[in-house]
Amino acid sequence: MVQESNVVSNAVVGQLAVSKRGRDRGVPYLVLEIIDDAFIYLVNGDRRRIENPKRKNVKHLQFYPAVAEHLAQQWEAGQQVGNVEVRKVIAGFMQTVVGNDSDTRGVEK
Amino acid sequence: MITLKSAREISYMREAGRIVALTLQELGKQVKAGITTGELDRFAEEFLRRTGAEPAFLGYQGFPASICASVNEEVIHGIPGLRKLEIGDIISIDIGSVIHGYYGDASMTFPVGEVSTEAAKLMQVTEQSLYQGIEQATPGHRIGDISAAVQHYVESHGYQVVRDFVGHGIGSHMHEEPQVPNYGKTGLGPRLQPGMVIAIEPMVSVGTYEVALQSNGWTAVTKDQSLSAHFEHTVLITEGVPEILTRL
Repeated sequence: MVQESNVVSNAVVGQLAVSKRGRDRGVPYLVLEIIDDAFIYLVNGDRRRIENPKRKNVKHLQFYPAVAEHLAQQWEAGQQVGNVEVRKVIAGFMQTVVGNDSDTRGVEK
Repeated sequence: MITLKSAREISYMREAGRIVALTLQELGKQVKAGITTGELDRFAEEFLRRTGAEPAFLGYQGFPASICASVNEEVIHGIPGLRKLEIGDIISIDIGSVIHGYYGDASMTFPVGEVSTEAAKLMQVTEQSLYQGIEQATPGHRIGDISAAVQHYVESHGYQVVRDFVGHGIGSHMHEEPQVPNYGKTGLGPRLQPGMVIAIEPMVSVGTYEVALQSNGWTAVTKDQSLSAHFEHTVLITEGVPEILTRL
């Protein structure tokens, strides 16, 4: 059986991404903006809000197949909104999509 | 975490791999016009169980069968059912076994009767790309070397590698770290070490590499309906030449 890819090229604005490296290891974010092939801006509505997003290398993130369409639309249109919603959306995604996934265990679902 | 398998674990995986290879070989003989994918699945399940193994896919994340049967533009995860094979079809069969708690996973694409020149070439290139990848699976190399070899070979023949799905580590679970993409750059990714076991599985398309998920939530098809083939082996990294566990 084939495994679904969690690789870089799937990075999309509004997508859930969890940090794999850095002092924020394990912290979940939503993709705010794609800078280039290697870097993106992330927000989590808490320490990192729209006004001061976290810049990270995509290699240091684990992406998940969950996208906040509504927020993505607003962000792509250039609207700097949604701090409150971001926290709720991330919490929701972490429950449903992430579940038992872990970068440090050998188990993939 | 990437795990290195002990001698005992390797012996279990050799058994699981051999069972998969035997089942695929017998399944290949069953592939002919008129047979349904459901019949192939039942044959596979019976054959697997008779060897003492369990079908690894049945119930895995809710998958309802023992094999994946993907015909023509279906890339992977085709669900066996009432579909009758017709002359000219190509069918990719993916099968997994588990015995003593360890897994084997392999796939082959079979022609149904006489197929088009394009289909024959696609199958040949896909199978060969798998071996190009396996050649890179030696200590000191990296996952990216395998990925790049597969991609380069496939693209040099004018085909595309599917990117949304990847190969994987395998052991006491079906899917373990690391992911083994079929595209990439040499020199990148985790280092290969003796004791690692990975499933390398190129999925190749005649047209676009983009795939769409069918409404059953499982089957991936090429977005432009072009033909797709899939070959896979479970490979043990050794001090020397890689050992293909799913080959007789």
